[in-house]
Amino acid sequence: MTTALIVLPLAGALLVWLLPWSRFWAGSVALLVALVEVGLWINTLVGFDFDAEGLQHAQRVTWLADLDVSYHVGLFGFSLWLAGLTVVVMAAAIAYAFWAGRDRPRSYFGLMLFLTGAIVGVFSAQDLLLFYAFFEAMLIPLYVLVGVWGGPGRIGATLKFVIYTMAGSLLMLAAIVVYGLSEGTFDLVKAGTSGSTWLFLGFVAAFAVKAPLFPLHGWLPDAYRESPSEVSAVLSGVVSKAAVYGLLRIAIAKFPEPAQELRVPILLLAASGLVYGSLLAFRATDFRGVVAYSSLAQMGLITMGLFALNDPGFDGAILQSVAHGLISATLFLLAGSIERRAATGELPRLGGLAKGRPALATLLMTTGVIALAVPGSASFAGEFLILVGVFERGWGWAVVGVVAIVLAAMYMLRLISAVLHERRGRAVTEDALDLRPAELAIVIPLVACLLVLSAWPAGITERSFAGGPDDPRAAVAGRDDGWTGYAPLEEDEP
Amino acid sequence: MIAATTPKVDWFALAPVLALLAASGLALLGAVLVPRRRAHGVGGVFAALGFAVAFVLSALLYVDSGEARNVVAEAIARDRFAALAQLIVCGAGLLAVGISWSERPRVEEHAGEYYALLAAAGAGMAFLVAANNLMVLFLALEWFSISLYVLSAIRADRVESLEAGLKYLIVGGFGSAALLFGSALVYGSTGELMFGRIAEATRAQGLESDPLLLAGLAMVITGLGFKASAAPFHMWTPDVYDGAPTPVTAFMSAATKTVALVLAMRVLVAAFPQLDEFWTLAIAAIACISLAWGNLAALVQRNVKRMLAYSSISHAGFMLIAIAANNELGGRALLYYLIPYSAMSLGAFAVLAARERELGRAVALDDLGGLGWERPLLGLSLWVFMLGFAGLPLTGGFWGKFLVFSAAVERGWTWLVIVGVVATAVSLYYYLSVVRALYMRSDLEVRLMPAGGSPPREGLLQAAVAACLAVTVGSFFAVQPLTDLAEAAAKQLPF
Amino acid sequence: MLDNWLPFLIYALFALAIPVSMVVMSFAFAQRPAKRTRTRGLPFESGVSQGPPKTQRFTVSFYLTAMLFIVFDIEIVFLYPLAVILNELAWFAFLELLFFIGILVVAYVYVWRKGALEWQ
Repeated sequence: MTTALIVLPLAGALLVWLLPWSRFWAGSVALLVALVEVGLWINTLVGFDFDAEGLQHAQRVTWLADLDVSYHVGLFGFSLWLAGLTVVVMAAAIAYAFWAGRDRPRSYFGLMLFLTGAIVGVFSAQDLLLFYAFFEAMLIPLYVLVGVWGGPGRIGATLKFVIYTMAGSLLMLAAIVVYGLSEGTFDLVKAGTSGSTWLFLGFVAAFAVKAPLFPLHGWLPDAYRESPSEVSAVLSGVVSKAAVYGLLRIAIAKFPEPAQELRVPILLLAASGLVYGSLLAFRATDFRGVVAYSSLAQMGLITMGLFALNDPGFDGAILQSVAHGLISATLFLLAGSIERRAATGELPRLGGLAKGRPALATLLMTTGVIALAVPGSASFAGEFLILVGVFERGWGWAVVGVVAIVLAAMYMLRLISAVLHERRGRAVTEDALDLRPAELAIVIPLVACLLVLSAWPAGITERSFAGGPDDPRAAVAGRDDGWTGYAPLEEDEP
Repeated sequence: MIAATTPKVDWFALAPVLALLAASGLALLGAVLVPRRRAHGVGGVFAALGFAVAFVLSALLYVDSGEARNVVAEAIARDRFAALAQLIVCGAGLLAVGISWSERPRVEEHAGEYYALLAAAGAGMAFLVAANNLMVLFLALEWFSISLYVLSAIRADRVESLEAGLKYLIVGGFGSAALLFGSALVYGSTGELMFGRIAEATRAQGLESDPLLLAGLAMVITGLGFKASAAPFHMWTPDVYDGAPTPVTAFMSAATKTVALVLAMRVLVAAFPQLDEFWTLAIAAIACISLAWGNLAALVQRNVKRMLAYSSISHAGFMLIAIAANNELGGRALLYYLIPYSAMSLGAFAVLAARERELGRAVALDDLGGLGWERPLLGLSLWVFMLGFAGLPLTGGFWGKFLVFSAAVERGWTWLVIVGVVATAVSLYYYLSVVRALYMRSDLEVRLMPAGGSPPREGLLQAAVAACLAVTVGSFFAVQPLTDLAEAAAKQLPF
Repeated sequence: MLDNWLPFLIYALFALAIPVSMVVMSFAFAQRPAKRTRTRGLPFESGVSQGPPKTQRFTVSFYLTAMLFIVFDIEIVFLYPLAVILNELAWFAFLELLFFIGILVVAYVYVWRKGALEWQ
């Protein structure tokens, strides 16, 4: 089942690449594959037992027996949610690209489908080398998608993006080799935990670049600004979550001791990223800049949740990952739509878009309000859990988090008012239309997902971690210096 | 009356070499006995047949050599290690013939000789990897080197080609001299020529710290370093790779590197196990210098062939890490690495050959603009080869690097892994600049490119590129069977 | 220790002594003008002529033929020792001999048909 989730988009990519489709058919086939992928995921979701411990839908085929490398995939609760985020956002992105009519459609849609497969692979890989292979395979289509279809500054943006990412991943590769050989296996389920700080740092380096975590975010503004808007949506909404998965499944679960020891410096970095990103978002002069820096801030917040190293932190991080993925994807797609209408994303030249464009105004407003974590929204639940988690580590962390949430309200409201309200900007013409039905059909499902999550956040928080030896919670449980959440410690039993 | 004992000749063990030698002779006769306009076809067919037959024979030899033994008066090692390297050489040769086929109008005058020399070089290489004594080693080394000197200079109408031939001759001659002198010192010290017996004599006579032996070993390493184009013995590489006809460069980069490294591993492991403290460090140092120098110099190249030449120096560095590891995993890593590396190298130069022919001049990075859209197969292949060189997944280059690093870790030299990782990160910059040129130039820039006219018919070249692509990607998925082959081969060396 | 180095040392000494003595002797025995004349500035100053007159040339065919002669001559020389012990080595030597001659014949045919033996 997991394999089907990975292989379907890859096969779709080959299909789109190899057959001589016309522009219309290439897009249609790609969209069809993406929708079937969503259906496949829903099917997996329905059949998923959230109470069962360990991997589900697992499949293991030996790849290189001598070093115990295997094609081993499977899903935990939290990886299922991240995979779901992926397929939904990718379907929306492909539909958006279809609607926007990108050049060289076969290459474009093939790469998007390939990217889908690679990301789902990252979220389900249970072997270190397989994980690395998918992690890098993700980079290849992204490099081309930004480099070929991006804006005028795309060459510099891709170069920065790739060099940053690869520098991190290669450190991870070195760590993987050393760790795997010392464990005698590269299988994540079989491998035991390790206490090596250096290996831990090797893994964290890769994920910190991917997330990105302050101060490794140098690639972020350029990449998010120069990409086609749906690629930005994928980058910030989905690709950054690979870092969350990696931190949770590898860095924390396999290196519990270094994670504890280095908790404070990492929390410090995450907190600085949170505040710094929020401030930059408040100062950014263009739509995408605001969303890009808010992504940096949100990833800082999620990392804080992860490195609270307790249950509420983990739950909140997963919920917030999904919520933020949907929010930033929606915002980037809306940014693309606005840029198509106004030919610019510069905030001073925008404004007054709400008048006569009710659909756009409603959607942007709804998403923005959810993004600033208004009580009752999915991100409120996520941020609240994260704050509870870090509060257990010291009230100071929670204070930073709260300040950042205030900042989030500031930058989000500034964005909304700069785009929708105020005086009509010079770039906004009278005849710029409201969102077209096709755009609505793409964006509304994303917002609908957000509303469902807002109504029922427990749908994710109670269905992410089922316990068992492979659960990241098991790695940090019992090593704690205090309250560990709602699950009673096993040590308490006589 | 002289008491003479004649060695028993194992013809089967020599069969791949003899097949190639016969092909070479036939191609040479074809050059003078058939009308000139047919010479190209005849030579090409004979060379291709020779490589194909030698490939099959090496495969049979591999299957049949479950037990390693020394034959023909112990001068030749008949084992899977040699057979696997011969397979790589013959495969590379076959593809090189395919790439050369489209060069027809340029080598018309020397077509027969060209293919004869190609087959002769292949024969020398097949002989070299089976060498089990210092004399055969030197003989085979000169055999293929001289063929390559002439091949480099075969386009006598181009001054670059002549320069390449001359430079290669002089620097290669220097390397051979160092190797020969080193062999003499080793023989002088131990009194033995066979690899295995050198090791025995070293142990029996306690020559572990004999300065003469050490000096000899150092010079042997130097000589092989020249052939493998490892820094600091690499200075000929960019000029020769650039000046030689591109199909020759393709063959050289794949096959010469293969045999030099495979033989280096055999000599060092079989003949000098007692001196491993010394040579593992020496090889590791050479590996680091190659990685640093090759990558840094490649960063500033605009000519793609020169860039690939420096990249090949850095890859020599990677493979030397496998040798420096001095363990069976290292042997496996080296033999595996060579398979995708040869394919990528051949394929990349083949694409350049096609582009060169279109433009009629040396290919600079900017000249690749738009190639990816114009010629989808060639562009996509070059892209994949670059990713493979950089060691990204979905190509065998990834497993190659992974196995090399694993070997270094098993040896306990994690620092070598760090060096390799840093080098890979640097190398990304120039590999990606190729991809950038291929796909990411704006349409306006691309339109300014000189029009190449209609693409020439070059079915064989495209087939060769496609084969290289298949090997590069296939070796990623089929890593288990390939490493099994490599493992069975590496096991037969006395690690 | 020293025993091992002795031959190497002698070798090195010879390698050094020959070029050094050449240079030194050319200084010591050459009769040359004390003043810096044009001749003295020439790279090789034996004080006599500067090689053959420029008008006299050898034809390229001479070098080609000379080279071919050396190659084939040296190769044929290998046949003599083989001939002496042919009886002891028996069939082995005979086969090797045929093999060797076979390679020579290919080369010969090539040289012949290529026209390298025509005097132009």
